[in-house]
Amino acid sequence: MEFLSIPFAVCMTITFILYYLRRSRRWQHCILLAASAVFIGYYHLAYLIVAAGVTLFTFFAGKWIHKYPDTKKGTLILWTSIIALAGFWLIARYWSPLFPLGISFYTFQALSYLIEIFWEEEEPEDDFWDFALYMMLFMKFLSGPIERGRDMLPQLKTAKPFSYRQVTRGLKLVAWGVFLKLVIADRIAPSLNMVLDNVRIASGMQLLTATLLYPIQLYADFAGYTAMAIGFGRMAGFEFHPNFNRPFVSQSTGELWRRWHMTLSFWVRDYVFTPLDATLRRYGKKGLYISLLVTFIAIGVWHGAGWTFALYGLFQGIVIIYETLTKKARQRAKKRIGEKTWKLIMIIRTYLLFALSLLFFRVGKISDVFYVYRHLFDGFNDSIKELRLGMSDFYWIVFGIATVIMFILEYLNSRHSLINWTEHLKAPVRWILYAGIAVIIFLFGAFGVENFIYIQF
Amino acid sequence: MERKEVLEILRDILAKVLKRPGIQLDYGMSADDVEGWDSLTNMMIISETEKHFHIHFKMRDIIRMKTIGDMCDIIIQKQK
Amino acid sequence: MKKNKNIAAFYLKCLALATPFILLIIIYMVKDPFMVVRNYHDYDHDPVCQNEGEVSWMKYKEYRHQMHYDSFIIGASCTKAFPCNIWNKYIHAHPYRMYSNSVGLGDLSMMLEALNEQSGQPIKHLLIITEVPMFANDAPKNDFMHIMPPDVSHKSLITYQTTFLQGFFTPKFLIPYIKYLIAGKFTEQERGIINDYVPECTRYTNDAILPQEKRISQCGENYWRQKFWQKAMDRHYRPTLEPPMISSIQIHNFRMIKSICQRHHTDLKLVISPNFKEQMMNPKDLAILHSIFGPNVVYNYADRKHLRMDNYHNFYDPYHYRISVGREIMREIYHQR
Repeated sequence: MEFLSIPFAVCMTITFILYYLRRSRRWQHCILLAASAVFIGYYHLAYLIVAAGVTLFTFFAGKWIHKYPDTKKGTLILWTSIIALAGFWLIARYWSPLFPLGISFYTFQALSYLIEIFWEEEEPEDDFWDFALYMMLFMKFLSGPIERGRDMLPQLKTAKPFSYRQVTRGLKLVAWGVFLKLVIADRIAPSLNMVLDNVRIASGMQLLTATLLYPIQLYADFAGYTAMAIGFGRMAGFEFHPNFNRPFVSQSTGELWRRWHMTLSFWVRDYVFTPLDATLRRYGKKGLYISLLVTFIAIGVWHGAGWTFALYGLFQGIVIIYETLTKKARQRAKKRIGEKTWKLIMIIRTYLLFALSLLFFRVGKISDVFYVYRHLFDGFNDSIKELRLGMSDFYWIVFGIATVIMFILEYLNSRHSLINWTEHLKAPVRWILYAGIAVIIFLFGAFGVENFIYIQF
Repeated sequence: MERKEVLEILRDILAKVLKRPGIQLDYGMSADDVEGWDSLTNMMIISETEKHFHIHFKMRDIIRMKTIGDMCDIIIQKQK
Repeated sequence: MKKNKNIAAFYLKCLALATPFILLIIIYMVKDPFMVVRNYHDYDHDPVCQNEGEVSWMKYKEYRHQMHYDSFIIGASCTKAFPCNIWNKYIHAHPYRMYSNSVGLGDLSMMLEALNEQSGQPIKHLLIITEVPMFANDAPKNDFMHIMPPDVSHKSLITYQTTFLQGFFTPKFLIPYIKYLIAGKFTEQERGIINDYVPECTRYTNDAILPQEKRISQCGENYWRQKFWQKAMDRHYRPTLEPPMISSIQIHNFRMIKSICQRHHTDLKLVISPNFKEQMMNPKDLAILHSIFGPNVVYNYADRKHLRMDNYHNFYDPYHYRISVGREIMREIYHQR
């Protein structure tokens, strides 16, 4: 069930009430496990069976690896487990008619867990039910954040007392996520889909507009989901890692990937890039570049089946290698042009490169991506009204203002937590603010509005 | 070799790799505390360290190097 | 004690914030604007614009044993140009119009499959009315204006009911609906949410009731000088050949339709409608349809030969052609035996 649905709202409400009914670790974990099973099984029972199977496998593999630290046998068990988990994921991705939801995320959690045990950085978890909760907790099941065992398993060792402050902070974060998803991402989605699903009949200006706006839609969608996931987790007393840190202020693609989908990029850095780079270190810079390319292609392939995703990753890798090679030149240019101007140029340049690379991510065929590149500046077909992409001027204004608000609030939040700041407001002001946010989401959110387009005129 | 000696050599290595001659280190610092020391320069530093001390780090050694102090201790251990 | 006070305070505040939503849920349950919470005998007099697919199905279930339906017109709202009494002159059976707004191929297949699954349901004659864009939509739509009841869509009752509840909360629906409840009468701002006339369909055959014909005879040419018509005319549509749309998924759907018709020995006719926008069916797609269904089944009116049918006088609005066009089509396809 999606976060923004009535079944989820009902499930979450019942779970929350039962969860805080007793301050007992076992009780709370039972409730969360049951809720997770309902959440996962609601989509398809097979998804629940697969998740449970991967959990079981990983739990026992971890115990087995721990028996043979730093030995050939331990290495063999680790590699067999990695091949089994990654292989199963690949089969599900490329050959299975049913791709189990969340598998990319919990498989990565499983892999990191086993690797950390092998490196003796972590002890295997003894409590199977705690481990099951770590792997299948519904709040982060669908799309992360990807949590490490060492960060989350200790959080499962104590019962969570009800904390008014923690719960309300969580709720505020959920509200922020809802705003991002409904008022920004879902508002612009139908218009961008109209162009990006049919690139060969769109005009050049439409392609340009859609290309430039797609990163914002993707960010608002995913950051919105993540905010909701972290918010729900906080309501249950858990702290998850953030996935985004104002990625659009990045001045290089390397920096972008330290701010975009951070739990994924840090995972890949620690478990793909670093070991590969370490293995190839005798080749110096060549080894570094190969590691970068392989890592980013892996990131691309993780996102989806098909060459377009691999090319998406390759694009990132090539740009980062280029940035590494031209570091000195860029520093010289920065001194000549001046820091502020340079910063602005680099932010725009990073955004544009990211937008161009995302076409591989979004558009189904490679030939269509290159078609878009060739026709970006082709102009209009009939009139400037095409730039509306089927959305009314009113909703363009709503989208624009909401996006500006998003950037401003994120900037302010980077200086001081806005959620904490609301706690210092007087009660009437706070309530007006909450009501205002609810009204804004209600009035301007895109609640499947595109489905209402049976109104003829 | 003494810990202090190892620290001095590491300082020279980092200064060379990161092109920062005036760099200062202490045992409690990690990569986050040193400008320019990131995942892209990490292996170059490791590689230079191995060359200088004529040692070879295993993957789990590299993982355990969370701070400069950890690096010094692992280097001293490898030399024994 | 402090913990209990904290939780109690939290729940009370949540309840306070949720009170407007709880009130709205109560209104929804009592008023049942989409007529899905309870069963009804009369689906034709609800002021709220309905999920026509859902209403078609519920009426079919309500009257099938009484009326012994054995022939069906299936398609989108273009089926309004094909009244059952005119169709019956050719088929001499017990027809029913089973339609849904903006139906796609996926929705159409699903409806036919559901008919096939009904125990003891003959399908002697089937008239499928399609439009060129329909062939691109291969997946059934699941929003509240298109989702079909569980015995058609095979979705759970919870999914079905919550889809409508969420649709109720859509501001674009809820705000005009509340305005209508308060004012008690239809206003132009509510068009598309509230019906300006009821009933929209006849009870037993589900034919469209068309006050537009009366308006045309009263206004004459001025009917096509209305603002919405002028906007459409200003677009100056030219005949455009659409790109091929039929791929393996649609072919699978068509084969399934053919298989059902073979099982029931159905006299099948598939019409590709003329359209005001002058979109023409791609010959490749047409060839696929002919190869699947064989001769005397597929009739294409979205081509150069029938451009005269795209004349604006033949349309109530840019999306729906008149009964006269439907009559002409039926005369042609049933006299070409």
